[in-house]
Amino acid sequence: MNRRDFLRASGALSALFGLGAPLHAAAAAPGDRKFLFVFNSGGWDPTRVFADAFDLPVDMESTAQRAQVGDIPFVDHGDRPSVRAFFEAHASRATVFNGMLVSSVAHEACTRICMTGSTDEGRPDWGAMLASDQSGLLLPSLVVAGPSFAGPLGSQVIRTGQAGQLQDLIDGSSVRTSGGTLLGAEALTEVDAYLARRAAAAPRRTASETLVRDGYAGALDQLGPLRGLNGELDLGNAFEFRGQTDLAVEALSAGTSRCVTIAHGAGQWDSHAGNDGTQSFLFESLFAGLLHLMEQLQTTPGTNGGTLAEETTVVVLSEMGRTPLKNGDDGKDHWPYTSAMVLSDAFVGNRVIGSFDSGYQGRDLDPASGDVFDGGESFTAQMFGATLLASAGMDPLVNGLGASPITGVLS
Amino acid sequence: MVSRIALLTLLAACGQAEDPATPSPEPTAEPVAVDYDAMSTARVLSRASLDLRGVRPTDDELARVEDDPAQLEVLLDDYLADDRLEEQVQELFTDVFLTRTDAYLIDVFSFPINDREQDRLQRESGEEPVRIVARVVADDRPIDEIVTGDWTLSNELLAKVFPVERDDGRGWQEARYVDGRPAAGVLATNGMWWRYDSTFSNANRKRANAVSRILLCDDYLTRPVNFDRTVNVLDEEAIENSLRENEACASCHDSLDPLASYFYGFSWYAYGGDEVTLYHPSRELGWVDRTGMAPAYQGIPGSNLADLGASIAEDPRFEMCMVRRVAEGLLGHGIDPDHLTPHREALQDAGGTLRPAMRSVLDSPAYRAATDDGVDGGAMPAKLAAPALMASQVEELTNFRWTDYGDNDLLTSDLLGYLTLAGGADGYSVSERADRPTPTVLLVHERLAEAAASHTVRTFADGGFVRWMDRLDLDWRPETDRSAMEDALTTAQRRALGHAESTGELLALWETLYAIDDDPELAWTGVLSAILRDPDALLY
Repeated sequence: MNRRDFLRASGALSALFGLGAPLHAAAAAPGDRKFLFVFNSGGWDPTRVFADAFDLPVDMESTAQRAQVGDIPFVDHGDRPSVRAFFEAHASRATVFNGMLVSSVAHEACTRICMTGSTDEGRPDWGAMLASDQSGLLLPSLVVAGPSFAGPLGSQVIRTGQAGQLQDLIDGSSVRTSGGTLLGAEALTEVDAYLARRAAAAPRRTASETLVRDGYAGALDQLGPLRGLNGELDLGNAFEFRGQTDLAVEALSAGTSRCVTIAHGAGQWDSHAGNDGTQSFLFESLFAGLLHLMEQLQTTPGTNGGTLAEETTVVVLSEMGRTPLKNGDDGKDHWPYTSAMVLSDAFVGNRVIGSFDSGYQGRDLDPASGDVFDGGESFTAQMFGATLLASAGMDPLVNGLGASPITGVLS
Repeated sequence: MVSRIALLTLLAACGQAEDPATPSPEPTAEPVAVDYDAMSTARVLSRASLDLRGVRPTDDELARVEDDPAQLEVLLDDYLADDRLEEQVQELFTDVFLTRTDAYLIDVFSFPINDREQDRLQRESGEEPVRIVARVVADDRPIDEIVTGDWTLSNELLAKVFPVERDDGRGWQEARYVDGRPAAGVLATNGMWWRYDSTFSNANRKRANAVSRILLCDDYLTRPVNFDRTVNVLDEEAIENSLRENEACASCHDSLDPLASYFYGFSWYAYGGDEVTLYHPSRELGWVDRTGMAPAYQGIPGSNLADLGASIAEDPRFEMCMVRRVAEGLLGHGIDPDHLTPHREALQDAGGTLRPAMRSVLDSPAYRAATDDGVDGGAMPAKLAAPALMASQVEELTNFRWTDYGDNDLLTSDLLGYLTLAGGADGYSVSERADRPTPTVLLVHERLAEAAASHTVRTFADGGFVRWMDRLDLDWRPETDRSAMEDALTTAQRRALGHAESTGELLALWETLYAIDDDPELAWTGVLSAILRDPDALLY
């Protein structure tokens, strides 16, 4: 049994729950779509790539120029060749969202809003919500790096650890390094069975106790398959962005995860000083990584007969934007309007949604068409999240989101 | 109200134990009559022991409450006076302050310390403010000192870097800053403001909100923000004016900005050396040029951090928030402010100290009930152990502490260890502790248990001893030594879980595991790890 076979079998789950759908199927049905979130922590400057703000009172780079591939205008610069290369290769799959309101200028709040649509501490993030809509996945929402808000969906979220510590736990090196003796797989199975009996016999006298005890029992069920991942996924390779994309592609193609979250820049995007050099370096690095990622997705089989690129929605985002004008340190400060990019066959592609107005604030949208429409609805992070859920066949309203999805952008 | 009256009567009768080390006194009160479905006294005792000491009750303590349930009340007083309370309070407030993180935006290379100390400095500086709170509680001092004290806590490493004069002794000792900073408890600590930094444009608002969130339970960031499109946001002066004149902006900034103006003595942003270790009294008026908003707290003007600390200490919200923090920490869930009243009254009756409020929480139906019936706000008969609590109870039983090669504690670090995988918060990517088990929580727990069980078996094999078990012999076999094995398993369960419900099943498990590997060491490791991994070890 090769490792992909193993994962399909132990991810078990796939056969039982529809992830292993017929070969040669067309692009994934909404309920089967996978998601890969690429989070850029610190707040990027959309005017360095996504937002053509040359005609606005915005401090643009003097050496940047307006460019367009297909119907996607972007900001081109000689220091960022990967940006142009990326759009030339993938514009047909790309939808750029500009002027998204995150309603704060604090990193913590913006990150939460960007990933959950709310400052409510109890709300799970998009990845956890999307993962919860499929049953039986081994690593439903795999967080390799970046923020994670599990809310009540903690059982859906698996973190690998900043240095890939999950691998140490799975392969037992966490025990060996402390001089301990590892139990074999058969012995662990027997111990787990004993614990399962203990968990089943424990009282469930209140709703809170039921949640906690059922959580224990459910998590225990996942332990054996989780240990079985030893050597099957390179979970310890999470420090570099390329290692993160490699792991993300592995997990998605193996059918073990519906959602994976990775991160680029580790907070370095927060360019309060020296904005242009920082942003340029990071955007070039990001888009070079995205080029690699898309190549991987296009050449990796999915779980429904197509390529992973056909089955996966890649969501590239940052928690906030940056001020239109520079400060005294040649930097830019926090701004509550940002941009995002989605790469997906579930979206129409080759399109820009939203815009910045003359004050560099986001403009209203008509959700039905996705067109800018003054007097329409404010384009918020919650609307963005509702659109992601809708693309996966989930009803945003049922999932607690009041905002309308931008149905006009869905293919 | 029968239970409340009965409880108060009992408490009055119990008083404080004079010496926690003193053997059990005679019963001092009748058993408590309650009008809710209470958990067993042994379970309440175990829960309180874990919450207040980080370890399970001893055999003697369990026997005392089983012989005489009224002894529970005496033991709770003992636990509140236990030296280990300080560490548990520190853990409780660590999840509130979120200052104990693996990496600050600080140039640790700028300090005269070695590589290992640079790594430690990142984490231990964040413990400074939380340890102040824990010391105030453990010493039963009024909570005012949290924001008015003229002292801090420093270990040898922090004393190398921070401008402090530190009392003699190893580890964390009281110290005083000598750089002219005002006396303001946690408000005047480097650890607080290294974690909550600021920038020119932020103008210390992040710091002001940290104070409001942590000490007043009022997080500005949870308030809905409506950005007014009529404001010319391209004009910095117009923005500053709108913060004062625009109703949507002013609703927050009218109180936030004057609070922020207290923090100009601390460095702006991510530098090393003296810039970040020293307080800069000469910059206290920095607000004049930056926002023009004079320091004030809820309209009460002040001039420096000492004034701010005094104002906070007098604010009823501070008292209420501190009570809420300990209540939520002990109960394991959020709490309606209406249900805090008795705990707050306990604090007030005791002159503003938190330990009586903690005792009030321990006495409450919400802490002791097995069902929701008759319990305001509901009961929580099973709550998830935090990573540090997983570690401390295992260490107490087995002497095993899970560290890496560099002696870093693997359950309090996320960069090196398993903090967030074990359900903890790292202060950045994960801001709240998990409230129920996840697969990685159980995986961490499993590996911890496996390592500790292995350590225990090897210790006995080498002729050593751990508190968890009186005897363990690898030559025992069920055919010839069943009674000894049953005794050992009963003792191990009782000390690890507070009960011995599964001796028969565990012996059967031992036989199954022995049949698999034909290795008594592995069989004992497996069966002891099963006890440490029991649902009752993780959910208490």
